Amino acid sequence: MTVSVGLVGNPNTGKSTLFNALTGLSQRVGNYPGVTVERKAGSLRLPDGAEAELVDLPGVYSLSVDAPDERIAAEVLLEGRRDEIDAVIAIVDAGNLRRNLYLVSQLLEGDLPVIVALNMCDVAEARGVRIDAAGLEARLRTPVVPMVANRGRGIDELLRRLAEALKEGRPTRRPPPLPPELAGPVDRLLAASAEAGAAPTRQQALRALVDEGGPSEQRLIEARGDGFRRRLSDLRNGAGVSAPLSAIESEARYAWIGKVLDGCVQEEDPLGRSHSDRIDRVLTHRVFGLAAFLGVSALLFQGIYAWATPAMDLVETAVSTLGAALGSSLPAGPLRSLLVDGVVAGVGGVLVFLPQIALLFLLIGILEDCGYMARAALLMDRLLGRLGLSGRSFIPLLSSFACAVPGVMAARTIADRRDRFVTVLVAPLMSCSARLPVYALFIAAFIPERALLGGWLGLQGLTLLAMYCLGALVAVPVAWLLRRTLLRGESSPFLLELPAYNWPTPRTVLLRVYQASRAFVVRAGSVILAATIVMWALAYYPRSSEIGARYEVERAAAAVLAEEAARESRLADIDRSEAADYLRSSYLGRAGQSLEPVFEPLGWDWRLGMAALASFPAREVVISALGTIYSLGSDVDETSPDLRDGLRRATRADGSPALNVPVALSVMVFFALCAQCMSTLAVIQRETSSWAWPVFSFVYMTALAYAGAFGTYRLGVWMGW
Amino acid sequence: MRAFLEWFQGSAEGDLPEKGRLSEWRRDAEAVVVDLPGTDRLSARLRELGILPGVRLRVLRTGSRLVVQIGEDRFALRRADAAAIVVSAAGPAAA
Repeated sequence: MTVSVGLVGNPNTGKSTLFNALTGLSQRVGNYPGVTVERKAGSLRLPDGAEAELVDLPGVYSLSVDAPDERIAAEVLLEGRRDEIDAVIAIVDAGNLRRNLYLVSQLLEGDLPVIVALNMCDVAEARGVRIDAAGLEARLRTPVVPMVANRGRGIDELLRRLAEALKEGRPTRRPPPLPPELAGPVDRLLAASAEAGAAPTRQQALRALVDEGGPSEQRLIEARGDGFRRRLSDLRNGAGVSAPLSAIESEARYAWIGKVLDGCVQEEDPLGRSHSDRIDRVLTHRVFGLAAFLGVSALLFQGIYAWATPAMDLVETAVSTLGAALGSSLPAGPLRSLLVDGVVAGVGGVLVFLPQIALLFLLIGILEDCGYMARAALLMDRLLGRLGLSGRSFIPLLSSFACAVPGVMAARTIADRRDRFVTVLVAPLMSCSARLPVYALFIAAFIPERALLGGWLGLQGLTLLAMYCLGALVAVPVAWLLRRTLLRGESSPFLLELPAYNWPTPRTVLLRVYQASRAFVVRAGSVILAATIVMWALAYYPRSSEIGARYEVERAAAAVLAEEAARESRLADIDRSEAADYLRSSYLGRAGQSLEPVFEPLGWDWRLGMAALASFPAREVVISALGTIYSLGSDVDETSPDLRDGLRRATRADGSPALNVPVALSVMVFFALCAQCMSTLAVIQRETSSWAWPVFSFVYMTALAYAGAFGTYRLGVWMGW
Repeated sequence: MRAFLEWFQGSAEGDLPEKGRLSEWRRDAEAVVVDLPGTDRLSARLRELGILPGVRLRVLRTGSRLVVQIGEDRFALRRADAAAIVVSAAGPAAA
């Protein structure tokens, strides 16, 4: 049985940086049993060679909790529920000890060893804060380790002290004394519970009294029955209690912290002006701030489109080389077709977008790590507040631009249930990275390259930006309506910390890029590969011998042509129409043609319609499905996996082009708004603990997508694009 | 014109009141917390973050969303929520 250590701290203290520094690539993400909150853990090696598990607990300001993710931290730390831990590393910001020690003072009331990691000492020092770490340790009676986690300074000492503490076991320290107004009710509660056995600890008793609805109160009521609720409420309002217990607790803790810090910490001007404040003068300004926000967003999307091109070309070349090599080394038949038209054209077509996805996560990671996201949330709270949401929904919604799955999960930080549900329901409307391949493909194939704004923005980049905005714009009325109908209620309060700006830590950002890219590749290798093979089989079989025989006759007739060029071109034509005939008579072809009336209003031919249907498990599948369909339906010998050309050259039965600008826009709008992602629907089911909400999401989004695609196609035709 | 400039800069001219609500406080002026009487969760959270009687604050951004500095912390909150915090002037306001 390995020991387990919890890592806990206020938000923005460098907790993730320390976690990454301690565990590196050994981290894994799972779930806490019984709840959906993510459990992030990794292994670390202690100086004596033993291995220990490090659990990254959600960032909290105190043990009084609101949101579901904070609740997990409190349950683990207070009740040992869901997760047994043997010690706690409490990370604190050296430049902000007063507020950070609040949580530490609560932790010291428990019976777990606590090691205080005094992080960001360099930043504090540079600002003129002098800290006597040894003095602090003596007053807190628990190890205090000064460190700079992002440079690796203090890590060895932290591990050494951790190993010592684990060996010593339960600490014997004196917790911060409680004022009489709190100690009285706590003693009475302990006395009342002692009779019944299974008494709570002093720390649990305190939390049960102060935090109404918190995990400790819940535990106590589970053990003692519903009648105990009355008892607790009597104790809260009993004699000698003049204010809310939470107010008494806060005052007592800050008084204690004041005494601890007195003489240990010297600071010049506690209300001094910082660089961050000067930057915020602009970035949170009511006019310049919004302009900067729009500028950053535009740069983000333009960057994703423009900067990823060289890497994408490289992947594309590799995929087509592989396809050509396989095509020429394998004999004609089902196996070659499966590998070349199915796997390489399908999965390869999706992998091409890996550079863009990595770039998206890189840019979002940088913005988050440097502290800009909180400013954006502040600016967006005004808009979100009008919809009945708060700025808290901003980060879940923005994360959904990368992927709705982490976005929906990030909504756990929202305390209010209705806010959380509305956020979860509109998050899939944000343009996730799985849509990016769809946009990228259709834009590259159909939107002309034209420079706008003196070369700063191209028409292609602008189209991409428009597609990204579309989902967000549609989310506005949807959220507004939901907040006034199905999820009606008062708007929730908003309180958000603005961390000081700092240079992003390359390690933290790159680790995120690595994890996201890996997830994407794994998906391409599993769900998308499976869907591709099914698609290929449906588009390849049944292989009618009648078609083969008919074209053999034509080939024999062409072979007698004298002129070589004419003969070659005639043979190529025959190959093409044979392939098209096979595709039309395949299972997929037959189904597609009978469903054509459904897709016709959107301007889609049956092949597009089938690709869209096939992409129900994941949006990216549409690329591999199109790759397979157009590869099977094209000249088989050419084996060019360049899907863009395939789409441009595709024709309808009457010879007119199957796709043009209005059709391409209609497809993009459909994919911008549809709910074609099983993972997202599954995670909505988990987060809302109900099947009704994912079904609702799917129905409303598909309806919006169909209507949007129809409108776009009509508009495009009418405008003559 | 003046109203526009005040809106644009997020700061105003004129004398400071002795005592008032944080939501009406001037940008860059220091304030001392007098009272935060709320019993709701937001008030409790603000107290946990150190907004307690006697603590010095500074308003860094005014408008519908305020940014308040307490020591090294900067917190954003809505004007309606900031109205629950009663403050008084704290000596000469820093420029």
